[in-house]
Amino acid sequence: MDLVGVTTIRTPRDRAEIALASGDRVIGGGTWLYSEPQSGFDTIVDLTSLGWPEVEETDAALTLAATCRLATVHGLRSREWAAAPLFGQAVEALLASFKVWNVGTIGGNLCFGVPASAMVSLTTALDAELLLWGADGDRTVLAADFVRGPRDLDLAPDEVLRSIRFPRAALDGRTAFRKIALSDLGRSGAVSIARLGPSTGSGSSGASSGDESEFVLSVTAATARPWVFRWPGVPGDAELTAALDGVDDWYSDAHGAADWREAMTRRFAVELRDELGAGS
Amino acid sequence: MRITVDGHELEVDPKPGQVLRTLLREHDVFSVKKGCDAGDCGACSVIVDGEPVHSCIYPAHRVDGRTVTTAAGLGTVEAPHPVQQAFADAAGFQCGFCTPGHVVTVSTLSEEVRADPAELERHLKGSLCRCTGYRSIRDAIEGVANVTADGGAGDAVRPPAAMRVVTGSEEYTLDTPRPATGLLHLAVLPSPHAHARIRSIDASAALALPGVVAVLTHEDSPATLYSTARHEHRTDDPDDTLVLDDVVRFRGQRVAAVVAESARLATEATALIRVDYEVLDAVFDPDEARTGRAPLVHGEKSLNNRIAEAQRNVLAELHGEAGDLAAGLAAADAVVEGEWTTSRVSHAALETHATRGWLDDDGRLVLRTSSQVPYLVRDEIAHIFDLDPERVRVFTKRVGGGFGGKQEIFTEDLVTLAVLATGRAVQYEFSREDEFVRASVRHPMRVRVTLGATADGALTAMHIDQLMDTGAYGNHGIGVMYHSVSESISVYRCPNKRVDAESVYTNNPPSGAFRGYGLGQVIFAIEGAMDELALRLGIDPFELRRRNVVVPGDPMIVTDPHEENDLIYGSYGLDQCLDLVERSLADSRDQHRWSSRPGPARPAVSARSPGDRGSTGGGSPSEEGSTGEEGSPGDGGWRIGEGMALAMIATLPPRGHIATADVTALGDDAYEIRVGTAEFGNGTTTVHTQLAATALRTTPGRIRIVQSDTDGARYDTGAFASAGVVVAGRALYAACLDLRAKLDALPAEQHAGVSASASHDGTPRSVAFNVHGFRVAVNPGTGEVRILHSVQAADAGTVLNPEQLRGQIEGGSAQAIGTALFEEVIVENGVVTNGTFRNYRLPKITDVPRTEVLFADTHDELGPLGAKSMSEAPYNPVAPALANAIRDALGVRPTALPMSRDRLWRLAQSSRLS
Repeated sequence: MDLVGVTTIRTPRDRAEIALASGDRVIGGGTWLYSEPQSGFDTIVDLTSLGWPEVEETDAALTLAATCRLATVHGLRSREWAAAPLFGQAVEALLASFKVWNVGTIGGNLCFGVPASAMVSLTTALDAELLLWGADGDRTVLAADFVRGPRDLDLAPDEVLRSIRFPRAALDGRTAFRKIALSDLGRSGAVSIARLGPSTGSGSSGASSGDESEFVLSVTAATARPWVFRWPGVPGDAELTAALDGVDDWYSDAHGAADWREAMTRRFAVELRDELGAGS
Repeated sequence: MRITVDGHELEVDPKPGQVLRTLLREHDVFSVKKGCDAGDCGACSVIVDGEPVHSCIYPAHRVDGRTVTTAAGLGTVEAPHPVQQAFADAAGFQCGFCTPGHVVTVSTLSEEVRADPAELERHLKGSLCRCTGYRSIRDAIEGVANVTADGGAGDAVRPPAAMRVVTGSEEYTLDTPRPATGLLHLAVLPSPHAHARIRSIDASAALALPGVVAVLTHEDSPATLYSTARHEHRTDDPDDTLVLDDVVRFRGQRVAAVVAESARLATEATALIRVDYEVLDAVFDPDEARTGRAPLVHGEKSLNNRIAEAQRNVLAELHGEAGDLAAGLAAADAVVEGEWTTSRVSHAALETHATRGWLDDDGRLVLRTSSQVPYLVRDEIAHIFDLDPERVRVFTKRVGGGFGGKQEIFTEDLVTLAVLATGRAVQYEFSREDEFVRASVRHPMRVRVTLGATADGALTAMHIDQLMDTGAYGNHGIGVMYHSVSESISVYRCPNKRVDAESVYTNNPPSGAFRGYGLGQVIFAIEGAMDELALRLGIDPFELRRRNVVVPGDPMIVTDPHEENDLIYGSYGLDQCLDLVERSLADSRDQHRWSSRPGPARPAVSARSPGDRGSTGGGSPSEEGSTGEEGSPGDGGWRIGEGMALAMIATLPPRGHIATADVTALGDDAYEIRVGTAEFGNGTTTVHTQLAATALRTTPGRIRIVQSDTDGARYDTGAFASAGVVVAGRALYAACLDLRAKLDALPAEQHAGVSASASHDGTPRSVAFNVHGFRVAVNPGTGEVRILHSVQAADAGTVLNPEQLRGQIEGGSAQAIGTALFEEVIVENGVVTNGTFRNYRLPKITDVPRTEVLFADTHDELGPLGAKSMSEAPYNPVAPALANAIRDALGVRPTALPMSRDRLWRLAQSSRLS
């Protein structure tokens, strides 16, 4: 919809031109910002004009620009990595249609930062690291720490999300995915992802980088912020239960009541553990 | 900057923050529609440089140098794109407002995607249709042809507008260029309070904004009270509304209207208006509202406004008894009681309410509007503004869906005020959020039912205690109450009946007319109670219905055995409908294995895999074992159940529904017909051409239609209560027969200019019937429901157009499945918290199963060629049939709508615990 309060569109050509001022709002694709009435800003800074390469790869990592379109992320599902199918599953978990994927971006979805943001599910499950460009320099933050709650990000007003780095070790893990919503292709009520494979060295599961059997469970959509649990091997029922007992922000909104979302998450945790554990 | 649109170069200058859709429509590219304005519905879909996008969320500043293709660029009426031809041949639309977007989207799909059902559904999740139930859209994609271009009554003729609809060239309400003299836009300032008195309004800052032409407030409003609801008799509804009031009674109610040179400016200016409110106490619970101790919503009004008890917030009430309820209960061998609740539902017509108004060269007021009732709008606008009705013209173009929501005045009154104040053309278009907040919703009801019956299943007692929340205004709040407890009750023979019904004001958003007009809510309760009674008595649910339904000769009684009315059995097909659905359920059981557990025979496990679309990935009805014991569902096992319900409906509203029809021979076997009925996807226009062609012994292609224009035809009460076929259609058929007889007496060269007229007053009325059956699988561990089999049998009399009738039944079933499983306008302390399609869960193609549609073989003595109405009716039996099937599966009865997954999961858990 038309954003009637906007008076200026800036299309920076390089980093210096980004120069965020108060009253500036950053967009990737813009598909969310333009989907609801907005207030409190008059300038839109369109990062797509920077022309960042969408996908960059090295032996150590896959790096996606914040402006990498969701359609491109979806396309990664057919790559050779063990975790490749997750890119497809996560994008398909979005309520947004494939027509939105042609415009919407991974960075935009991360910075939207609601429980159902499926790129939060993807990046937390794969221990992705986010590169933030600030007025005074760069910093990185783990995906699991970036979204602190619905629409609450670890992102300063002068910062933009530049890129998302997926460590190679995460891409080499086997993954399993569960989603449920109140309707089949609706906005997610619970999204849980498990990964079993080489440790990325993130977090403190006791596994160290290079360890071949770290089990990572990412819990999203059902909670106000993402939760990531890790074990040095496949966890037992009691360990799963104990971990989820620590979740204190089961979420309730039009997409499902908190008690149901908690029950679905607990159900998924067992199913995911069984699915990945069966092959190990 | 320059863009290429549908092969034409355009020089454009997008405004900051503008989206591609508004940019295109500003340049008169009307093949791009606004449905949701949020990227959810896909009505605005276009192709940008080869990639399909939602143009309503595509920033316009990026379009420089790009190539944009809309439906109009894909093909034309003369040279359609193959996908457009396929949608026309399949009749893959009803109102057609979503169709240009569907066509664009489907045109971009590969053969592989189209051939894979799961992939197809995934690609169409951003393409919503409210009318069809998606079966005919699937047919279009699969290349199935369902209609032919020509034919008479009884043939599957395609709508006259088909090729224009699929190519995006059919005009809807706002699909017309700005007048040369310019166009003003109107935006409203909504109330932030659920109940408040306006002490003062300071609009000076808004008026100081260049381009703002006027700010209208309660001080500018006519003092005439009216109702937004429209009926043949204006006294059917309470006079409780002003164009702009100094008291606001729900959050979001219009406080002031800004009229400005652009929609953007008008919206911006509303933020500059300063209002001083005296906040008043509010009441949101209808039970509390009627205690006499609650804040009064219309306390200053009275019976003179047709409000039954303004001092108790009661708009209307009915308390009556036939026979002796207590004696009937005492005589019963089994008594069941229960309480059922239904939620607010949004009509979600894809075209929002909108009006453009202006003064014509003679100074007459002209309103081009999205309405089901242009004549009633004309008469009431004349009443409110003290104008001679002759000085008002109201017309519609094709209307993008209605479902009862456009049997109201929601935009025409403000536009009239603005046109009269400024003397200029003014346009007011609802946003999607406005539809949730400021239009109307289906009345939420709480219905308590007590049924008593003898051991052999004969009803002895029936008590219905109904409470409905009409919201802050009483539009349709009287009629819906009376209708809700009419055919729902009178379909059953029972010597002792009692009804207690109250329609209560609150400070919630107003409820209004919705497909079924109250019947569906009460039928949901009664049919649930009948199902419970069948279980209690150990009688098959079909058999229990057969023992108790009325048959020709029986009086149709609510609470007054001596009531005089004009309702007759013009035909009767309920027996056939029951048989058809029972047989369909039985015949489809061979797809499923049978349970060996005791009790009524039912299938246990699906042999095919209804869980293919399973979102959890783990478990589907096909892979899990048989069900556990009754009442102890296992965590993983899908449970199978069957359920049915019936519905009766009068073919017309009571107290008159009037239509006139004129037909003129143009010579050369061509004719012009003039009818008042609006076309909003109901298919009336198609049937009218078929009836005319049959009576005139010609083909529909020879018929030119002038419709829904108060200057074009003499009168039509309107397109509601499913009246388009049985009233206007009957008048038209009579006029055409008369003309044919006149023409047959004349040599052909004297035919041109000969005309005939007829009218019909909508009385007496007949009854129509619908029976729905479901087989479902329910996962008690997640609350998911898979519909394995869905069947509806309809008694519509003579079938005038089988494809359209099937479409109405499928569409009604789909809308009801949405009501039953997904949809709810959530209102918390008067605040709508989910006023977008994405948060409201409008059913997508993946949510709606195919429904088998069967017709009873009847011929009605009243309707044209024996036909009955069938627009609202199919909606009514669906939710209770589904609830009964879920009860059969889970062993515990769901009684609240929607039966969402979280609720069903909780219900299954509670049943396991108990």
